[in-house]
Amino acid sequence: MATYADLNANMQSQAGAQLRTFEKIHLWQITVYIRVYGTDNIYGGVMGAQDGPSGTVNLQNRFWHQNVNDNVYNNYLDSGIYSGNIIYSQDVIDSISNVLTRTISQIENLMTDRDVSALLCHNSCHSSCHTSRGRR
Amino acid sequence: MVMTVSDMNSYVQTYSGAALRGFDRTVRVGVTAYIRVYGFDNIYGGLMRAQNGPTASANFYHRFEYVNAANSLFNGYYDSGVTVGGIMYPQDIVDSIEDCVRRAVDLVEGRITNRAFSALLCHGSCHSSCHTSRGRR
Repeated sequence: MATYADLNANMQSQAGAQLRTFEKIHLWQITVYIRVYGTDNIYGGVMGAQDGPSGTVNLQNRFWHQNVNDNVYNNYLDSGIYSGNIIYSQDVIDSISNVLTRTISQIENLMTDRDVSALLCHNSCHSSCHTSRGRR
Repeated sequence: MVMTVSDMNSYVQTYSGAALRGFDRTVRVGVTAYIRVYGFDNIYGGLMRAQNGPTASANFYHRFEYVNAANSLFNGYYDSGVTVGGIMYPQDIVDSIEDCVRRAVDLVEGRITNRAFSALLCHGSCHSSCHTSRGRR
């Protein structure tokens, strides 16, 4: 006989295990154009670099949920679901809706804002520091 | 009324689909760019250095969502223990929901796609050379 406590524990461990599989590495490909246009603060001359340095960098970003606890699903199984009880359709509907909504919310919460620093070297910059055999 | 397999399949589609359509997340990406130039002028040969060259930061926003997800994405995602004429046990319901969670995670991962964007990082002096408080010069 599966009691509610048994099933609630199963729901937590099974759904938690699935949520922990959430791992996505994707790419931010950033092309940066620096545009400088201003006046020299000492001599007053206009400094223009309107088609200034540009570069592209690929940065990998990872969203994942490896350490989520099973208890995020505690009591998300409807309390009417257990052996020996009449299980109504609405109990099943509520359970599906609650657990899935919880899953989506958990994923959204881990998709946090990110800050990236992009050091965009030119080839000439790179080759001034590195040879084919490594760092100069 | 006895709940049928068809009912169960309908529930997993309707209610998992609705939850998945709730996935809508905008992520801010703050980009700080450092341009470093170190090389020789290709015409006159002079050494050009800008080792602590222009830097700038800007925020970009990327939206990940599945607001138009179809219910049918969950078609058949109920446990194999749910069969026509069979007794549906409570554990079968738990197993079915587990299947739906697995499917939802996979579908959300599929929506987190690579992004490419161009960042025109102006300095204040740049911006004010083109814009006044009343708009574009």
